[in-house]
Amino acid sequence: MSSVLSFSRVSYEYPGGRAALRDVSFSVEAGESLALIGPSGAGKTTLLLHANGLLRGRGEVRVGEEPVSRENISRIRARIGFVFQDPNDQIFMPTVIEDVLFGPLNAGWERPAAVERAAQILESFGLGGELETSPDRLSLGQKKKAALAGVMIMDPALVILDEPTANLDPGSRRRLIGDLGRLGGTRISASHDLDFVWETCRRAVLLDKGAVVADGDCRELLRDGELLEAHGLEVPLSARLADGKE
Amino acid sequence: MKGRVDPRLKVLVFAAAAVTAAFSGFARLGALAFLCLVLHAIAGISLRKLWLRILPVVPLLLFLSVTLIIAGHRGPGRGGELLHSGLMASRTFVILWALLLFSATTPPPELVRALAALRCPRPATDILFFSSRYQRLLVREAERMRQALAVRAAANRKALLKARVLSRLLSRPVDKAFERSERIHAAMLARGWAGRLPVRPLGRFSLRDALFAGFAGAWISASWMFLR
Repeated sequence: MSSVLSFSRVSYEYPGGRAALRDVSFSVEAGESLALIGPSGAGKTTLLLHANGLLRGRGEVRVGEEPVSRENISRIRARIGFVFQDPNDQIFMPTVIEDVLFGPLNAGWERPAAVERAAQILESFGLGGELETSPDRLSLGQKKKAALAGVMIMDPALVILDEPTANLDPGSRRRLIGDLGRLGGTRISASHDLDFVWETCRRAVLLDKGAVVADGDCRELLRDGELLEAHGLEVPLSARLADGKE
Repeated sequence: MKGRVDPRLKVLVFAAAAVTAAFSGFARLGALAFLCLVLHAIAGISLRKLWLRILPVVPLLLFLSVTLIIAGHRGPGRGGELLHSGLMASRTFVILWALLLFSATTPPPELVRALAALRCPRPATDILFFSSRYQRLLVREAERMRQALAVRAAANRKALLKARVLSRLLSRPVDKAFERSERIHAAMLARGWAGRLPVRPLGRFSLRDALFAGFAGAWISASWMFLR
């Protein structure tokens, strides 16, 4: 299998000298759904921001065969779809469809083709009736979907989701899980929601204090109560139910 | 009229009305006020809505009027200093009315599209776009902070402390806006920002647009020709 994204000995310090990442190394293969888990402040978002060059530290980050650098950053960003934790930061155009069109039009797509594709993708996310709606009028769940649609329209090789279920009600969370399952593809999800991770990911990387603590099969890792508790997490309810402990 | 008339024409008519008002006497100002009244009626904007919009600038208008009256004795006004001051205040009022009418009938995205179509420099339209887009978020942020203050300082009635907290609170939206702008910029970069904010092109002019431009244009031209 070919590697879609790889981190090799990546370290990063915040201004002021506090270490955020320490020698992080792992790679993501094509078609993999990987969870990046860890307590608050573990460095999950900081690491993910390295993937498309929004942060640059020491070590090497590769997308496919290409190392992330200033010269190829536009190409790299076109291949990675990044869904931020707060959709209010990500959605900024006056209407839902204009927002989804932001990426394609910046990439030089012809407007009619982009509009047609945007309408299709919004329809598939259940937002077909909201094309001309102001994003301000959407619920948080709908905003997350609109943000995801804005990313998926670019057909990225890798989708990165930062805390995708944060602040969602159970219904919206369930629908998001359904949408992600339907989309398939290569995906990294940074999340505290270990039940979400249990349902949607095959592999997990546990990060704590900026370093990789464990990397392996998602369900095995999420059953390891001792390991999780040592790093500020706990076995998710889904794992306990699956093992008949609840 | 909201969304019914092409925003390019609205920009042009407003600019013409504002320039005319700035160089007009009472008669022409009266004609402009009548034009505003007619457009106001067609637009169907309630007086209450206009009053709510005008309310924040009323103190400024009063201050301006008083300043003009006090400073009026140095003006070259015909028929007395008070008349000259009144003329200045009337000009301000008519321009303000036109501006309020324009802003009440033109949503910010439409304004951006119109300015872009009229070849306004892109940095100006981009700044206008972002400030209008995030104005609502900042207002919400300020409202949340106000609620938090009310909840956490319900029993605190010491005026000095309250003033100190309020002065700090005033700077917080700026800090928060800066933090947010950083996150938004990161999101824009991640989504392939290439320095171009896509603006939806405007369509062709309709018969309604022609009627609006014809009526307003003819009225303003006639006021230049026949009134002072």
